Order: sequence, then structure tokens, then C-alpha cells
Amino acid sequence: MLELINATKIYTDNGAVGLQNVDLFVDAGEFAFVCGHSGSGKTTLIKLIFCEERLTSGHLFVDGVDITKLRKKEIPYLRRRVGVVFQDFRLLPNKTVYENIAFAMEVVEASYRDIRREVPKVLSMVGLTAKAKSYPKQLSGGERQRTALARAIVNKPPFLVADEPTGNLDPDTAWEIMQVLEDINAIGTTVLVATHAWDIVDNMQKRVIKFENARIVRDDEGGYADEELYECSTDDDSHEYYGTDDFEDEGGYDDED
Amino acid sequence: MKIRSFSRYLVEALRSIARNKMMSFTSVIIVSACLLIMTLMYVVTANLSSMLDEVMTDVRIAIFVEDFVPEGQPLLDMRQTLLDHPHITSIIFFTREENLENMIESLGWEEDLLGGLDRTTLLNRRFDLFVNDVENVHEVVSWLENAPIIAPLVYSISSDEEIIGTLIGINRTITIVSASIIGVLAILSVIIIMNTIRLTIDSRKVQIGIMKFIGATNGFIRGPFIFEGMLLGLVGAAIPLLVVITMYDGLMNSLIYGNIPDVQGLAFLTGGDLFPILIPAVLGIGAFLGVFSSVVTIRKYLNV
Ligand SMILES: Nc1ncnc2c1ncn2[C@@H]1O[C@H](COP(=O)(O)OP(=O)(O)O)[C@@H](O)[C@H]1O
Ligand SMILES: [Mg+2]
Repeated sequence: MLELINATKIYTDNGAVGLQNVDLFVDAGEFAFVCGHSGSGKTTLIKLIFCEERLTSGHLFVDGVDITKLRKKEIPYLRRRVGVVFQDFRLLPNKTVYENIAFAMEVVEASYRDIRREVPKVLSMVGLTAKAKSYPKQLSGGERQRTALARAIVNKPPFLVADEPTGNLDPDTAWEIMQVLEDINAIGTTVLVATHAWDIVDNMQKRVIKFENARIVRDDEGGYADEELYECSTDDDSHEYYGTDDFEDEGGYDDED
Repeated sequence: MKIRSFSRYLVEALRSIARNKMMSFTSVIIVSACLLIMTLMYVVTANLSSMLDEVMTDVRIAIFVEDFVPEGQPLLDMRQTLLDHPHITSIIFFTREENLENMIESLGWEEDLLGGLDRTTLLNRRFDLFVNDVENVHEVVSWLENAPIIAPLVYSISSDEEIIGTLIGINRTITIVSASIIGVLAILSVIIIMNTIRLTIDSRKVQIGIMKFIGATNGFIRGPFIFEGMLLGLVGAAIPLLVVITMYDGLMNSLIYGNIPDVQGLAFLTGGDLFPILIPAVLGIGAFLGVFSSVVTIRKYLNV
């Protein structure tokens, strides 16, 4: 599902290294965590996967396609095969939960019939059937993230990536979101979650890919985030809601650490 | 593009226009002003051209031949010289007698009014020259007056050169003045529409960002903005068209049935002559201004 071969990402504006000669393989149907300190390269990896950033050198395969060679016109079609979830939810404030999810199908020009059929399905899958008519501002953080998850999977992408999906949530809610991610993985979706919520990583007993200074330093099945447990426990305090931030705005959501 | 996306673009565009009322209103007014002047210019110059055409079919350059030019070969040579001029397309020759008859006829005289005068010497022989374009009448006349090859043989020249010159002059002045005003207003229209579209893009940044990562194509993201520009342009075009269409009939009626002497007898174009060209052209230009402005703005501010 995902393969990086000697992948390097250097940001052209400031010369910062996002990824340094990374090799990685994630098979279809896997559930994996990407963890590491702030600035270690997690967000960079996620952005590369849905082509918001492009590799400087090396190769990156998503769902069998070498996306380093992808032309601009083809990017939307890649993104339809990769669901994305962010820390700040990124819902449209003037649309209801139902409409936010339906919007993802409208954008890919799905028929009304398909929309009416699929949206209730994902709503029930993320447990939001009762909130279909609510607006984002009437929802708790957990409900917002469930909405974002529903939107990410409504077009049935084979791959779901999440960048700090629980960064704005309290531990109990975070744990619920993890259960939803597991459910999504259980129906066959490959799931990759970037996080530094070490306790959750420890509890989930999944594959853990650990980044440090833009390189992978550890890659364990059923792994722990162990040694990070204490030193990074204060990171969560700095997370804030960036509800109005522009997707393109570099300073927006990727400096949450 | 699916029909449904098409209607979605339209709905989104209408929503933006409703939201940016002030800017949309300003855009429409500027486009209207630009196209109103363009329309008026077209109406006036089209009428002037049609008058020129009409005048042209009647007007020939009449030249009277010097008496010393002998009949026979010299006269034929002169005729050939005239025909060789690139702007002269055809020639009619009138003998002295024919000239006289024509004159008597046009003045409505009785034959015997001339009494015993010698009809064969009364008037000069005449060539009527037809020129290929109104604009060339002046050039041909000055050739006749000055060229050594022909000028000595010409006794006098009569043409409506002055009237034609005036009409051409008016036509040119109107075209130049209104073209410059139109140019300025067109640039202004583009700038205002660009700003309007830019405001819309700004107010949709969040939505555009979301659309991108859920896999919207460029066309799908840009569609509503292009529609918005097109709508602004089309509404801006419809207003001057309505004004001119309603005013034109009134104007023509008062000119044709009113008592304005100079105008009577001249051929005005009817609405039926003008509007089949004018309506699609003005709507097309309006739509083009709108679409052009949005495309430029999108290129500048919407990096997909
Ligand atoms: N848009 C950007 N422009 C320039 N440098 C960036 C950008 N995003 C991230 N970086 C740099 O790349 C490195 C990795 O950052 P990031 O992938 O955001 O890490 P993480 O998500 O693990 O905190 C850091 O040094 C960071 O400063
Ligand atoms: Mg990050």
C-alpha cells in the first residue's frame, strides 16, 4: 500500500530536512503508528502521501503508483484513494455533519443516489447517526473528528492517513477515536496514524514506526512508544484548534508541536 | 463536466454574488458602462457606414473634358488612362448632347427652351468615374487635379468629396474616441471583476483547502469562480443592451417621423438590421471580459 525507497524531502524555502533517506513498506490492510518527537518528520510523511508535498529524491509508491512521477492533473485522483484526517478536523462550519460528509462525494461527482445511500452508512459506522443535522460548532471535539473520519472514508479509499487525529482531544475521547480507526481498519482499509500520544500507542499494540531527525530509528510490530512516555507528556498542552486555517498556509497546522 | 456540476457552479456563483453585493454591483456597473459606450459606438458607426454606402452608390466623380481634346483616339487614350488608375473601377462616357439631355430632363425644362442654341457646343464632354471605395475618393480627386498625365485634360471635377470626407471624419473620430474610452473601461472592468473574484476566493479559502485534500479536480474547484465572472459579465452586458434596444426604437421614431430635416431621406438602420449582430456580440464580449478576469485571478491567487 505504501512504499518509500531512499526517500528524501528537503523543504526548498528554508532547507529544512523533512525526511532523510527513508525506506519503508506498509502492506495493504495494516494498521501502523508513526511516532516521534515534534519535528521528526511525521507530518512530512503524511503530506507526501497525499501529495501536498513532493519528494526531493527517492521514490514513493502509494497503492502501487509511483507518485513521485505524478502529474499535477493526476493528484486529485490519487487523493480520492487516500482518506486524510487532521488534528484540526477541517470541517465546513456552514454545513451540517451530513452535508460535510456528502460534500466529499459531491466533489468526486457521485450521484445523488449513491450519496443518499453511502452517507448514512458511514454515519452509523462512526456512531453519529443522531448528529447528522448538527453543525460542527454544536459538536464536541470527538464528534467533529468522527465527522472528519466519516468524510475521509465515505468514498471508500483503500488507504487512510491521520496526522495527530487525537491531538485536540481528551484521553477518553482519543481512545474512542482509536476504536473507530480500528473499525475502519477492520473493513480492509490500510491505516497510518501519526501521533505522539504515547499512551495510546502503547495500549493499541500495533506496528510502531519511530522517526527521529527525519529518519526511521525503530520499526516494531506490536510496539511501544515506551521511552517517550514521560519526556513528551507535556506536548499535548500546546495543541490548539486551528479551525480557520488555510490548507495551503504553511504556518497553519504543521507547527502544532 | 456533468450537468449537475454545471448547476452546482451556477448556484455557488450566485451565492458568492449575493454575498459580495457591493463588489458585484460595482463590477456590473463598470462592465455596463463599458459595453454601453461600445454599443452606442456600434450603433452610430453602423448607421454612418450605411449612409456612406448609400451616398456612395449615387456618387460618382464627374469630370468634364477640356474642349481641346480631340474626339477619337485621344479621347480613348484619356479613357484608358482613367481606367488604369487602381481605384477607378468603371467609367461612363457622356457626349455633349447626352449631357444636355440629362440636364434638361433633370431640371424638367421644355425642349424648346433652348431655342436655337447649338447643342453640340453647349456642355463639355463628361466621364463619370466609379471608385472602388469611399475612402479613396479624395485620393482619386487629387490625382485628377494634379497628375501631369491627366490634369491638363480635365476641365473641371465635380464630386461629393466634401460630404463623404465629413462622414468619414465623423466616423473616424467616433471610432477613435470611443475605442479609447472602451479600452479604459474594459481594463477597469477586468480589474474590478478580478477584485470581486479575489474576494470570493479569499472567503472560500477553507472550503478550497478541504476540496483539494478530498480530491476535487482543478476544474471542479475553479468552475464556480469562472461562472461568477461570466455571470457578472453577462449581466453587465444585458443592461446596456436593454437600454439601447428600448431607446433605439424611440430615437429612430422621433428621427424618422419627427421634423428633423437633415435626417430625412438618409437611411437609418432598423433594429432588425442591428440587433441580430449587436445582441450576441455584446453578450459575448461581456462573458469574455468576465471569464478572462476570473481566469487571470484564478491563475494568480488559486494555486491548485
Ligand atoms: N512547510 C514546511 N516548510 C519548511 N520546513 C518544514 C515544513 N514543514 C516541516 N518542516 C520542517 O521539517 C521537519 C519535519 O517536520 P514535521 O514533518 O512537521 O515533523 P512532525 O510532524 O514530526 O512534528 C522539521 O524540521 C520542520 O521544521
Ligand atoms: Mg506534525
